[in-house]
Amino acid sequence: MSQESSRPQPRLVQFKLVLLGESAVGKSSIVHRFVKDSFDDYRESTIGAAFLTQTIELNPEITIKFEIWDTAGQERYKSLAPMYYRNSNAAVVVYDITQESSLERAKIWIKELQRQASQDIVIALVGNKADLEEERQVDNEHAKLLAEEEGLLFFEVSAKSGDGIKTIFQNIAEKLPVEAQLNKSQQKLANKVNLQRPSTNNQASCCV
Amino acid sequence: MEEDAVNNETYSANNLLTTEIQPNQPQRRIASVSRPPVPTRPQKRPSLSSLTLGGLRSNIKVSELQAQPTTEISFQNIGKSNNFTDTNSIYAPSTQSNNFYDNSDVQTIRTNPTLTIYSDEDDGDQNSFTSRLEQIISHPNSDLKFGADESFAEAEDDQLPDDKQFFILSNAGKLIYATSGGAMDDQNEVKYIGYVGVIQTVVNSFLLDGSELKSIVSGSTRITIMNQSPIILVAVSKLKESEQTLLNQLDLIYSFLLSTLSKPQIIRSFQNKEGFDLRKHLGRADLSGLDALCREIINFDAGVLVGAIESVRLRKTTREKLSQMLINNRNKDVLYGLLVDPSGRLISVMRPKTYTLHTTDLQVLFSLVFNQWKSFSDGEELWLPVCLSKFNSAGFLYAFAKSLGSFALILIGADKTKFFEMRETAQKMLDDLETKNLLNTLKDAITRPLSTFEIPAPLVNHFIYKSKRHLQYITPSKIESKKLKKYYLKLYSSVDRHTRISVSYLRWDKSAYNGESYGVGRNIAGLGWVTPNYELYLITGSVMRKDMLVKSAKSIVNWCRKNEERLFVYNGATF
Repeated sequence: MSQESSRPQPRLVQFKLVLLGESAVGKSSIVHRFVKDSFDDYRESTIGAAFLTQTIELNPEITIKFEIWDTAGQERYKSLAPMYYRNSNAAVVVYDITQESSLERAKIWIKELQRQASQDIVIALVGNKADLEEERQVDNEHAKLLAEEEGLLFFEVSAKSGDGIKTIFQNIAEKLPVEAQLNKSQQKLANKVNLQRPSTNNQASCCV
Repeated sequence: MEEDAVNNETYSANNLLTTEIQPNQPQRRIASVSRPPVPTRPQKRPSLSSLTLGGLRSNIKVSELQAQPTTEISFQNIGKSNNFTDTNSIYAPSTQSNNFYDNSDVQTIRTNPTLTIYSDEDDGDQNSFTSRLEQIISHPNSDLKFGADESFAEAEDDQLPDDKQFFILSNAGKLIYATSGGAMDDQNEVKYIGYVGVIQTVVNSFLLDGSELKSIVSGSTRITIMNQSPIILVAVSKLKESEQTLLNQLDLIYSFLLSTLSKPQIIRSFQNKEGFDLRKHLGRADLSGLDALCREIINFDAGVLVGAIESVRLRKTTREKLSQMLINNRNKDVLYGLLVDPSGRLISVMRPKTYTLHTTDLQVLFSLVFNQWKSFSDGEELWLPVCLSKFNSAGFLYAFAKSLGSFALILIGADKTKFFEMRETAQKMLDDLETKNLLNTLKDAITRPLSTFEIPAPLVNHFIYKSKRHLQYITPSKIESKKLKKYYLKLYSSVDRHTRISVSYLRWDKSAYNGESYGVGRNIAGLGWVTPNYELYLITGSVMRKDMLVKSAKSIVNWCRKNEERLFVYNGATF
């Protein structure tokens, strides 16, 4: 505790986030735009699930670290999904604005999350591929209305151009129970403060 | 790694020098390879009742064949009676079918009858069975470019696309996958429908016959069929590969299919509905993975050819440190731990004492992981359910994989909920690597190639050495030249695997030979040497004399055996 408070650095709060949605709607592309600020036109589709982390600054005092599960959209992996969303604090449900069917799949994910995930999970409905306006099949207003009815955040983004990607995570961060999480982790820390190793800066040690 | 029980007898290095190389081994030239040897004992000929060779000179109507699979099939103008006298060319045992592995759990495939279709048709006859078959299986511009005039060391197009294709279909004749077919929609499927009809009919009629036909040879094309009912896998190759080579490749492809679906799921899918479309269970990722694997095989993969994993050369002490690092940080959920470089070369293995990992399982796993890795970013971690079919074809294991640029760490466990435990263990291992200063050692080892100059056989341009005990191989550099690939394919197929020790010598003369020219730049010679302990394939453009080549081969073998502990992952870390 004393060690923590003597530092001028912002406090770090961790949250788990999961991306769900039909195959090929661009979940991995959204994550990679967010984490690496890069885009690959010929991305391999995800098998299993990929795990990534990224931090954003919520305000000068608080930095949020997202632990992100980028899941495979294929139906075959559906049975694994609960494992990824069960402990998640946030879920990004993605559809492709040029594929009507992907919104239908997104609705099913939303229902499942509302039923099975934790009560206070923050859900965002995200329409990707906004750069393909001329191929649009899903009306912006229609999806927005749907999100409002279900009490979800709503965004239309383009992972390709990068438009709107940061905003998703920024807005999710603002809705997350930061104080509660902070208290929880401080309690944990207090309980086992002596066991904590001095250097656990994982990020630095892994990419030499 | 699988450690087979081959070594009933031990060869000392000294012993090896005197290992008899049959002096009377006939000089096998290309021409002799294409004709299988005449077996000494009479072959039991499978019943031909359902297949009539010869007959009408009319087109085969695929629809008719499909409708009446058990009735007579007439292949037009095939097998004139004079061909029948040459019994062995119609039902000859394939030249290389036995003893690919000596380890017990590899399915030993017995000598199989091969149907060789001889045809007297004019090549220009577009309606002939042979040419129709070839038309269907090849692209319009599929001229075999073998024998083009570059010397083999020159850089050239490293693709071998049109010479080979793979197909996966169901018992009911539904096409599941075709290389170069891309996503197999119904429209695309039409392209292959004639072909599928022929294959399905042939397979069905022979199945009913109780025969074990696995190959059809038509002109320069060999069609090899693997029956894994309800799935049928087909390889079509013009590369003059042996049946066993193709069966091994089909087995790898089948294992890949199982890795995503597992055997029970496939069986279940077809239960009660034979016409089920398995593509419903295969997503984009699966098909692109399957495609990547098939392309890798078609474009030549030394590991697939010799059935082994490539290893990274390391000092013995480094290997031991790595084993220690893995074992010390292991948690109880980790079943296997693997350190691999990005081209799939093995650095270190941790495994339970009693459970080895099958080469095919490793090849499948690496193919899955590295295909995915192309789009990975630093620090990204993968959690992948995978059915390693040689380990257990009915269940899934879960693989954690993390890339560190120059190499990757893969941890495999049986519990799908243990990602974070695996992740923590992986981090401990990597921290350990860093504190022990092993990271740079590893990076150096991975980037330092094996040079033929280090080995006392300087005239050898290229070689593949496989240690059967370790099921690993080494090769001085990546095999990228198309020509070199073809030399190796031919060399590999030329070795007689019926005997314990076998040597094959091939020579590609710069002058035209038997209608085919094999390069104008220089003569090329190759030597294949297979014993119960190792396999060596070497290619050279510098020395042609067989006795010199044999001497070089012995030098390489001696060197490899002397440096075994450096070259191969020896025991790995066992617990």
